[in-house]
Amino acid sequence: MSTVTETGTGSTSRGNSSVAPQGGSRRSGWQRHRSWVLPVAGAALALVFLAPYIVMLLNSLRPSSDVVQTPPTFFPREWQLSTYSQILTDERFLNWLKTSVIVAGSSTLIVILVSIPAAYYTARFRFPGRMAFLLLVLVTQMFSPTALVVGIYREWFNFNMVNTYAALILTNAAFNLAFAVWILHGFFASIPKEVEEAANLDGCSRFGTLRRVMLPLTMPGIVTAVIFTFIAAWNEYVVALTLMLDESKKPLTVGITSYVTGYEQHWDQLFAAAIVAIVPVVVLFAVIEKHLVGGLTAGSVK
Amino acid sequence: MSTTATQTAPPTRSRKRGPKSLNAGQGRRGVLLVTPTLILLAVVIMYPLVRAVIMSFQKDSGLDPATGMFSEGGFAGTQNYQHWLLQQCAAAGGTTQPCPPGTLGSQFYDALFVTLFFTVVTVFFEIGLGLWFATIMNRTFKGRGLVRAAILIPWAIPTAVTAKLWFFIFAYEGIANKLLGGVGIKPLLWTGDAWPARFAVIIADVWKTTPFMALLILAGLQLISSDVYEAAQIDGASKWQTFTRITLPLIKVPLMVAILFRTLDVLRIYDLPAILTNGGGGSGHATTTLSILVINQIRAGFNSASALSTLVFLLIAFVAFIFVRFLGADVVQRPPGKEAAKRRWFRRQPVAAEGE
Repeated sequence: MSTVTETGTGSTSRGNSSVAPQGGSRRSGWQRHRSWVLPVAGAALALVFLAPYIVMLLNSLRPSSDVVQTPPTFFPREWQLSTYSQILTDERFLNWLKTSVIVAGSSTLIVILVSIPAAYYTARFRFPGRMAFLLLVLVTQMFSPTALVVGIYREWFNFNMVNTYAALILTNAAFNLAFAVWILHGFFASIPKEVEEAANLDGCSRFGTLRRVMLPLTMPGIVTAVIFTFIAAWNEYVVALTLMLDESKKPLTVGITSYVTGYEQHWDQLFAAAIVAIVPVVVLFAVIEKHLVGGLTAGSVK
Repeated sequence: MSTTATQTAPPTRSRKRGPKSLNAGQGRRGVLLVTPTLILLAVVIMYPLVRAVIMSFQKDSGLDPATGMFSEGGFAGTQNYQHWLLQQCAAAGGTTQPCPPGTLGSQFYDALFVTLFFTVVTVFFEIGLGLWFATIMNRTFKGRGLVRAAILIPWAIPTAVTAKLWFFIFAYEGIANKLLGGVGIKPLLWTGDAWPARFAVIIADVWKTTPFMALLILAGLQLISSDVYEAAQIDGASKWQTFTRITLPLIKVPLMVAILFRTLDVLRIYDLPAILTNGGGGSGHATTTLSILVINQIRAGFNSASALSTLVFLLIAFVAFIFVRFLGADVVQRPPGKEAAKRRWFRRQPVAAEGE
């Protein structure tokens, strides 16, 4: 698993190598190199994974004819920024963007409003069926909209809600609820009860305690749940594809695929739209990245 | 958050006072707090699930192809399942015939194969690469945070966008073929021929989700104390022994969780093959997964689509069951996140209290 650089060269070049135990000299050789080898390896790795997206960014900055011209060049032969202004004034695109914002935003709001009370209650009180409730929530996380899409479509069809934001919002909210409940449950459970009791003694009502003490303390968990839900709802494709048949009500993920079809090939617009579509998630992701890693590891490290 | 918890004195949960005092009078009102969650899950997840199962046992209402008369549908028995599993398509006179090639019904076993093939191959590569990247990210070096954030960005990007991007990369005169040309390999019809199309999907999926796998594995690696490795080194363990005898067993649970999540994800993969290769390639359905087949079938008949989606659901549930039952029951008892933390913490309480 480890490194190529930990070879003997380092130890032989060092004067004390014959005296020092082998392990020590090996480490010192590695030590000398690790300061630059690891960052370089890490950067190379990151670059490899980001390369396709760099291609995407560069392609959004050149005219469509240049995108498909062969042989492909790395840097644009001709730079063009106007695609972005074209996209951002295109009514089709603005409608998709609007749908994505409304749907992802509302789903997130619902998830938070619904999951906080449930997580708080299950973390604080033992009640009959508590474990069953938590397991039920967990099991629903194993379901995906893709496997249930027929039933979901049928249901919203019966309620006459196909092509409505509400249907897509509720669907997204439900499928992300499990994660939010679980992560918040953990955060609430990790706050000692004494904190709450102290607030109680100081004359805080139960709701006041939740609002003034518990919520601020669990803020990292809430932020993680918010952003995770937002990203998932923003990226959702299958349900939106089946439910939102109206062109103007499609979200970005479904909409932007229509820039390049068998009939039209607006590569520049596709890539510019894709860049606009990923900016919110990448920015939000950068905010929670630490919490996400922390959230997955925190408990066990302690 | 965790800092607050650790800095405060550990709560003394004495049996007498314990949960009961807070519970008194809270029970009924408390249920109200859980109700919205239950309602949402019931309406959006449970109802469609049950509904789909019921529909899968019903006949399509519509024009009967045999008689040209409108038929109401009604109970179909296991007809819809036979349609998929035994490849029986409706024929004139209410009888059945083997599904002719080209129909959606005839694609079932191909789709099942493609789905399982994608699952095994992508998860295999994602574990391997994920382990490797996780060990790199687990070391401390300058700029580690930046690398970690950068490597995980692809995971946050919509699959639809990724798929279009790879569609561009895999174009005949695109970047992939140019790179292949650089090492002297003839250009491939990536999205046209069956096997290249399948591998195009696999490459794109591995590229996109390996970082997520690495993140989950990294979470496990960070639990391992460096003492353990030092002890192994003193005992003269080789790198490989250290990895197989120490690292792997110690990250078993998070690794299993990661594999379970990814497996369930790939089993229902839709957007990547649907957008990247349009489910096509070669014979026309070389990358049609079960989920793509379900969506295609929706337009052709709800009830048989329900039967198919129920089959997909059963497959996923079965795989999940296998994982939980044979590979580590901990997956359900200790899901990723805090439940594990909570338990461990409470278990530790008495010890901490005695120590004081």
